[in-house]
Amino acid sequence: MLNHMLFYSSCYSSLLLFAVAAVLELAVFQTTTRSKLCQRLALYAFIGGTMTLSATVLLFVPHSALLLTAAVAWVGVAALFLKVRAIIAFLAPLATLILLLHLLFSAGRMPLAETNGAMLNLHILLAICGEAFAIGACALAVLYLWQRHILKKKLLKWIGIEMPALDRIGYLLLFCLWIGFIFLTVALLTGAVYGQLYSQTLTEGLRLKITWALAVWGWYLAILIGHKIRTNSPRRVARMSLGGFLLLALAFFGLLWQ
Amino acid sequence: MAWQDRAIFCVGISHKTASLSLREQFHLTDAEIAKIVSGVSASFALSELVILSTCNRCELYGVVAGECDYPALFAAVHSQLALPREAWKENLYVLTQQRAVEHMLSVAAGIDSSIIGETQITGQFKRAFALAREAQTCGVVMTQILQTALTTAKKIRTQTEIGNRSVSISYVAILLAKKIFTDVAAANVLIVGAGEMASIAARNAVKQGVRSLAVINRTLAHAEALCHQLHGNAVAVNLTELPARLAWAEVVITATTGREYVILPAQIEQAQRQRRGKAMALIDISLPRNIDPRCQQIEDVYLFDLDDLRQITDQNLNARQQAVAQAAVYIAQGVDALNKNFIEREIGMTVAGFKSFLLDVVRAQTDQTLAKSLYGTLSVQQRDGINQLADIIVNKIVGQVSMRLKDAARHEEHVLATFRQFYQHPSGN
Repeated sequence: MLNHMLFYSSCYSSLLLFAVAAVLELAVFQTTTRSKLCQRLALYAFIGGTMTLSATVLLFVPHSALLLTAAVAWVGVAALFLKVRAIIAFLAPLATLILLLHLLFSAGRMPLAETNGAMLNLHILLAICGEAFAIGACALAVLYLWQRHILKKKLLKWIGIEMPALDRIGYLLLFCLWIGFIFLTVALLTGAVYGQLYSQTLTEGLRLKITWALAVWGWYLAILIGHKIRTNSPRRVARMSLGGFLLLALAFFGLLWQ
Repeated sequence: MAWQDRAIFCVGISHKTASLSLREQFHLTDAEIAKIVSGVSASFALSELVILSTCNRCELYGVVAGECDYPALFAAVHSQLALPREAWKENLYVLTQQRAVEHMLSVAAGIDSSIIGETQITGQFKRAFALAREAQTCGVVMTQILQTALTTAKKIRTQTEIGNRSVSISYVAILLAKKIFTDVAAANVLIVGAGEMASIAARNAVKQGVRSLAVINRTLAHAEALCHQLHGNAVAVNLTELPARLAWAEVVITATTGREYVILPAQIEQAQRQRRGKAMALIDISLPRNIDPRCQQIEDVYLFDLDDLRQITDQNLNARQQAVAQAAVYIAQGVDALNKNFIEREIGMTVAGFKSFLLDVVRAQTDQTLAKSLYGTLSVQQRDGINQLADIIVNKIVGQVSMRLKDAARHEEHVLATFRQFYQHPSGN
């Protein structure tokens, strides 16, 4: 009972902190004279939310949605060290949304580790890391397209906004795509090995899941090949990353709560 | 605000009151200032005098006891000037006491400059005070004002928007490039043209740490001359090499006087194919424009012209003007701190003078009394004891009086002057 209370109080604390970070970030994002106090509070709230959620995941049995939120938040924290602070304006609302949906719709579901073996848990963890990087790539794609729009359309009143340079966003976008792709590939491989080892029968749901996962994987492969071989412009890479995120979101929300 | 009954003043002309043609006649070099400052100070019986001469202003700051004919003082500083006093008397302004100090603090912070918030003035302000110190015309008051002015200027630059927004076209050009490239210093920068604007842009690029800079011009000799001015930090290239250099450059700044477009979309498209679509910043600071505006439509090419840059500098200038109100608060704080400092010092000097006066009276009286035959039998130790007792009584009186004086003087400045009239001040004031 105490564990149950602690689990939910820490979940709701993280949700509150991410929500505060999201509201503060969005409130000051489009202003050229960004309030330093607001920025600092948003930063502390986001880091606080990340830490609380990570502790929840470590101390209690993790749910996949909690793991995903924590992974997304850690991608955001890593971006802070790479001086791409603006990404928090996108990741904080996303983390809030995933956590909120989880608390609203999947409370009472059994946590992962209690029902699955180590092999399947590894597969899920790898898939979650892949998804977190894909979400990070999506946030960077939005940042890239926004910054490009400002510069191309000469929205000079927003020039003063503290945003990282286009080349840095582009570089990090590709970095996230590569890392996310590697995680997704290994997750698919471990899933295949698990299926072979335990000769699981392919139910309709599982078949759909595999098809969707392969489609997402193929999409990201197409982005990376397009960039490497056809030298697709960063704008196309950013747009395709948004498409990839859409596929992932459909897969995640469609399959997690099926 | 006053210092020992002396007035602080500021007299001069500036861009706000006089045209450039008039201001340039009043301009003084450092050597000229060094030559005249002590002589003028002595002939007008000034306690202190500092002369600040820049392209925007010529101002005299000083401290004077009693009355002073300020126009005559200004004329004396510019004795070499052939202009009659009537020709510039209207343009002259005289500020005294608190207003003079407020003005000095505003000048040092760049609030009074033609380009609000420019930083060059702080250095010129410091230089003027250094010249006065060398000529021994900068005393306690001016030194305190200088220190407060510098502290206030620093606060204004760091705490308000004044220091954050650049209003220089060439600086904004680099700022825009920084929105596209994280490390502009590592980017290949191509300057097209070798005229004045090109020279400013090239210098600014070198200042920003650009390591790979090329100057391209129709007349190679001019490009070489500019590269020579940049101390070998750039390479000169002939205009015929433009297509190859466009493929090489990440940032292109054009500043020629040509009436036709120097860079066309076809050239940029070709360059972009060679560059495999890497981003390129084109910054056109020339008038008429040198880069065809259609270049902006090419993928990964970002073109900014003079109008765009002006729009940003105007925005920044507006932001600076809005920050003036914030700056005024810091100036008021500076003046307030200075005023308190002056009062504290004056209280200290008045109390010291009062103590010295009392000691003189008491010692004279004790010596006179002890010289009488009645006290002839007193030993040396007994006499010392009486003298010590007199000193203790004086210290007690001074302690009591100074406490009350401090309280009163903090609220009413004239209390000190009135108090000094009650005794013979050692300095004669």
